[in-house]
Amino acid sequence: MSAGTSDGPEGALERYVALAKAAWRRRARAMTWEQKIAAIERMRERQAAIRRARRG
Amino acid sequence: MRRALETLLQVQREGFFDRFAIGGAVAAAYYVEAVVTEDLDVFAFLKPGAGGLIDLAPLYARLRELGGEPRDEHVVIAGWPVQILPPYSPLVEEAVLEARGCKYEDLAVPVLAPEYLCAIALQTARPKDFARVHSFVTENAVDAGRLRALVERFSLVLRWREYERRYV
Repeated sequence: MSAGTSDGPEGALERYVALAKAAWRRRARAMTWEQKIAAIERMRERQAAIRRARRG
Repeated sequence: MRRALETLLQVQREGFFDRFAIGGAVAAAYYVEAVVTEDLDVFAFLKPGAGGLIDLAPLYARLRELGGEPRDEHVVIAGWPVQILPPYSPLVEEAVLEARGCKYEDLAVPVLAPEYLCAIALQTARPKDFARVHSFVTENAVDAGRLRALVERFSLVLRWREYERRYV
């Protein structure tokens, strides 16, 4: 039995997503204020692009 | 962001307000994980005019000269909608007075302290404010004793219990 498959592929996927999220959280918390603000600016640009696309 | 912060520091040097401090999500991002926000919240003690009343027109005129563009309740500076608010409660007044200088690149920018950001979030009490409190608590970004003192002093005990009921 390979690691992470005892509860099937869905369980393994959930664990993978949880690990990826935890890794992202650790990275996000280690960012400087400048880096976080740059990330906010990128998120704002993405949201604005989505809004523009929705409006057509 | 840098240009927005530089502009705010410049108008403060020029005497348009005595003190100011960054609040809201941008301030919270100094201490905890960043969440997206549409604007930059600034709390400022604006200097009253000759008649003793606060007149925003000279400040807005100066911000326009510096490249800002008034739009609704914001002034857009280098793409950031900046909302300049007077400290609207004794809690916010004290928060601005207690703000600490934080480094953004080589600028020293006054930012509300984490316990005050938490207390203000409890006072505002929208779902996103409770989520902000939760970030501060779970990331150990607040001094529990200082936050408790603010919660008691500014009559936020019921709000704190509401937070605990929802999140803890």
